[in-house]
Amino acid sequence: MKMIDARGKNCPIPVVLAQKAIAAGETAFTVRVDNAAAVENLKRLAESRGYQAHPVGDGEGFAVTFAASGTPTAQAASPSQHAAAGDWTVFAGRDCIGDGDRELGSSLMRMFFYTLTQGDELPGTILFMNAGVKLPTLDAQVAEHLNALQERGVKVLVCGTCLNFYGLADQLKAGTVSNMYDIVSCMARSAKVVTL
Amino acid sequence: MDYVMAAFSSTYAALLAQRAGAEVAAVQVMPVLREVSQGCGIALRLPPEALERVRGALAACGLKPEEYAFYAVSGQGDARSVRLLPGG
Repeated sequence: MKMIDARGKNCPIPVVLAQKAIAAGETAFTVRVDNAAAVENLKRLAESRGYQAHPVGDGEGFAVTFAASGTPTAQAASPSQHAAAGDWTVFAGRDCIGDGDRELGSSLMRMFFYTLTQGDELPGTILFMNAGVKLPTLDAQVAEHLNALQERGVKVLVCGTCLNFYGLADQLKAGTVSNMYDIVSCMARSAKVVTL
Repeated sequence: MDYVMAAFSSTYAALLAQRAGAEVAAVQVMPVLREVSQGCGIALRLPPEALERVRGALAACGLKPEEYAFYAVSGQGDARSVRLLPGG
């Protein structure tokens, strides 16, 4: 059985080495690592690629054995098939994701919209209210992503009352100024509304 | 190569690099690609021609080479390839 020694190698190198083995068609191999985080990453990789992973402590770390279960898959499974494309709405009522560190929350928000642009499961509408209106006005990266999403048919609605409140009405870089009637109507017609 | 992705050893390093990188190039915040890590992580996307400027900015802001890595990314979807670039 193929043995990959990834001890002493920082994340994500152990995962990269395992991915290479999978890409090479290996159906059974072992990766040796020296930390628990790498074990967890390898277990998730195995699960997403149709392998079973068996981690065993070996005194100097861990040996994670991969065994193909059924037909290995080249890529991770689609994360969600519950909602039809375009049949859901994103509601951003703030300019960062979650509570806690604002800089981290802002980065997470940019990552969210970046990720939307990279996929095929697009929402039908993205709504911005309250401090969320700072995203299509003041955040250049998010505005760029929103424009890209609009070109693919996503409707972007921005609360006009909120733009006025924050003095941002003349700084809108993406989306259409809207009102509560349109926003409520979009929510009502959506199969689900995801609030950030 | 379509773009360069910079991945980091910690969220703190990623946030520091975001500030430093934005001073010298049009960087975007993105999640670490699945090919690189199955975990959640903040990465930076930068145009290939900005690589050396960003590399210099990261060094200037106090990050050590072992705290970040650059990857060359080409293609999309199943055809996407990700290659580790030398030099931290």
